[in-house]
Amino acid sequence: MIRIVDYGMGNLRSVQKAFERVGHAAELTQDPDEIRSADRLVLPGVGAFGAAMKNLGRLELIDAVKDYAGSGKPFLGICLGMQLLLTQSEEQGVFDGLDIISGKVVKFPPPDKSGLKVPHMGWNSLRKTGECPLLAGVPDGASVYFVHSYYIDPPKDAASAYTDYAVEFCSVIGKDNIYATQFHPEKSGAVGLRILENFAAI
Amino acid sequence: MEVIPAIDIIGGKCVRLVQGQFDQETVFSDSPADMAKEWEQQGATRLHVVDLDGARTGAPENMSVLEAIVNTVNIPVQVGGGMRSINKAKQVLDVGVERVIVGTSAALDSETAKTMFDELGERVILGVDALNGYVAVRGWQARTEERAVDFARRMAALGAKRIIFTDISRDGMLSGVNAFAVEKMVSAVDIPVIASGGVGSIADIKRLRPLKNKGLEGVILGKALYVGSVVLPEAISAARSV
Repeated sequence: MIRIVDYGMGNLRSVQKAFERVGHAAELTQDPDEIRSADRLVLPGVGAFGAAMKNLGRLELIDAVKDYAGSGKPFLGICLGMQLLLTQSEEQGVFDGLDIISGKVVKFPPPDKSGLKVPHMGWNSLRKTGECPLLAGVPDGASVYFVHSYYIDPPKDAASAYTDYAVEFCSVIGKDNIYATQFHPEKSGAVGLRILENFAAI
Repeated sequence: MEVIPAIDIIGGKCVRLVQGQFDQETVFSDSPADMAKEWEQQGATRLHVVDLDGARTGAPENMSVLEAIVNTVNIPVQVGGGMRSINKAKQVLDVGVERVIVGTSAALDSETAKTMFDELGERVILGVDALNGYVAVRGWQARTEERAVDFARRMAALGAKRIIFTDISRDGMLSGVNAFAVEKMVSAVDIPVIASGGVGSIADIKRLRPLKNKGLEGVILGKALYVGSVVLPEAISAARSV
């Protein structure tokens, strides 16, 4: 069973419905045991890093999510759920993340320097770095839908795709069983659905 | 340039009006969510949904329909109609809507407008409705003495990040887009503009396309799609090609 961690950060129905659309039932959960026993786990999320970690802590889900990630079963982080995988974020202070992927979450350069708006909101393209099962059948240069003000800076070997927006940032992670997208596959049309389908098949 | 199909809702159904008049309503589908899915399948990268009941009463009236649309499609959805206060706007954003449109009448109260721009940033779009170059209000039945371009400039200075410019004399008429008025608007402001109203053919899209370099980000397609005078995939490729 695909399980989606429901920790009070945004509307998760669209992620759930998107999995249904590609033929996979997915259930929302706040239960540590259900998280550990999932076949596939999705950590979505919209909002601030600090608030998200606080919610995960309050619901006592941090250990469960880390245990799951260490189990070798497929894990998918989406948007804020990707950023939470990192060691640390500098969003409105310094916060510790789940530290499943080493590295930091950093802010885009101010608009006056880049001329580009923050948040990065809209369609942008992927530059694939190699073969990643999550991106199977997704062409290099495919457009996906982003909404974020911060981006992750992980080790090179964890990045499966980059996107250019003022800086070139890592937009897809694929490392062992850990997958994550900075964009919203559930809002990214056919390409997004393909990614979710790929995840369900890994 | 992005082509954005419009879905107008009255009483839970997908309708089209002519020049915003409620007595000239045609029902195109009983299920706006199915309609949304159809446009997505034809290649839409974003949808423009208008809650016409909400526009009339001043509060969102079709929340369950909006939610059904957002949860049915896998593309961003923007919504207008009834966004008279920050709380109403947030209520709509909370169901997973990408951005809300604050209407011209609401924005004429600069305090409301500023609060929305400050708090919602990129997640709110200002609707600028114009009749013969002047700002139109009250369900498009009346116009003010302010020129649409002046209003747009004033709102941009107040913090508006994006504009939907509607030429209401053309809306639902398929009479051809007023490219001249659109050009004036994109030249007047530094923020992106989405044009709406009057697109009746692929030729209209080609007429607007050169304005992309001046800040025309997209075009909303309504009636033309529903009566079939424009086919969406063709419109998308016409908007894309140079």
